[in-house]
Amino acid sequence: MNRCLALSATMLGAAALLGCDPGGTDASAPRQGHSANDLDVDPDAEIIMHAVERSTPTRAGLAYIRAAADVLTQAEAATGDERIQVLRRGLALPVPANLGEAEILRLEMGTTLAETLLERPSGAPVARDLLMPMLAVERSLPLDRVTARALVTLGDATAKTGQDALAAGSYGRALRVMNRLREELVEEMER
Amino acid sequence: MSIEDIHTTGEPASPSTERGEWGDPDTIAAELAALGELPLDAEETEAGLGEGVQATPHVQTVATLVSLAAPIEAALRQPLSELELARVYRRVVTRRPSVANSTAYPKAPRSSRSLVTALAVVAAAAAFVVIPLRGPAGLDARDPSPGLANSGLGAVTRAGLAQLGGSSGSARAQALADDYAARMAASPTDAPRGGPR
Repeated sequence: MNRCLALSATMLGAAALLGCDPGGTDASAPRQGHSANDLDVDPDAEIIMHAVERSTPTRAGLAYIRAAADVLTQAEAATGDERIQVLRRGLALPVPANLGEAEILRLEMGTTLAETLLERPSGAPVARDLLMPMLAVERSLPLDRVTARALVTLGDATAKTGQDALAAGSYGRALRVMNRLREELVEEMER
Repeated sequence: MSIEDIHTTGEPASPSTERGEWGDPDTIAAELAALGELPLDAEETEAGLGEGVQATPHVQTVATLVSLAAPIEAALRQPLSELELARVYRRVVTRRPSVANSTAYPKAPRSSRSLVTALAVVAAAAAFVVIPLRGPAGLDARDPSPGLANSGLGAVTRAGLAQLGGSSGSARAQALADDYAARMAASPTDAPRGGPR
């Protein structure tokens, strides 16, 4: 319960921060001096989410999940370039059809790779280009912790590249995901 | 016109003109008769009333004071506005020692105290959020850069992620693989050969 309260307070504070506009600018308004990506994506767009449902088990599905688990284990043990190479290989794994769990695993690998890239001086644009298609506003995103983490990482990347509107939009979407997760947590505790 | 008339009507009379009327014994006698009063007796006549107000310094002083006070009295007769009434009421209440120093002042109900506590928590959270907006020391505090807001927002969202908790990516993927393998083993159609890892 304490965790829920703390998370609620964080959400509340963040909502207040999202509500204020310290720059006196409209985040949704296109501004000069930014890349075309700023204009392509509406940072205020409502996020579409779906629950992650367990798929019907298949051998191909199990092989993929095991391979992805191996990739993530190796990535956690590696550092620098080696970690990047491992995660790139993991993202290149072919995804079997109708494997809903693959979405979470790919998001996990992509986020970890983006976080690693962000540690590099010129890694922010690469991390942004990696995560932006995976988290496009027109896509329905899985309601999962890794989605929030990926959106925060995308916010960090776009903030570093100076795309402030996109960064604020990504952080805002991350907060919405966390809010939904918190609601689900409360519902589970009430059951 | 008598002194009483001036007092009741509140007209800003001119003492010089009024003195002329008051000084007329015939006018005084006529007014007294109209009011049903007795005419001036010998003592009053000796006091100078019959010879005019100007001859009596005390009466003249009073008449002057009344004429000067007439506009003020007229102003005082104006009804107070709601704001003025509220101010007067508040002033009177605060001067009552029994109310101001009362120990039996009703305390807020428990729900109100909880609300106040919740508001205090929210205010503290807002302060936590606003502090990063100020940016590091040395930056111009008037700089409205949205980058500063995003750095604060990023910190808040990361704090939210930390509150969510959860296991590492590899541990989670391994648990997912185990669950998937267990479900597959329970499935009669497509059981794995290697079993769950």
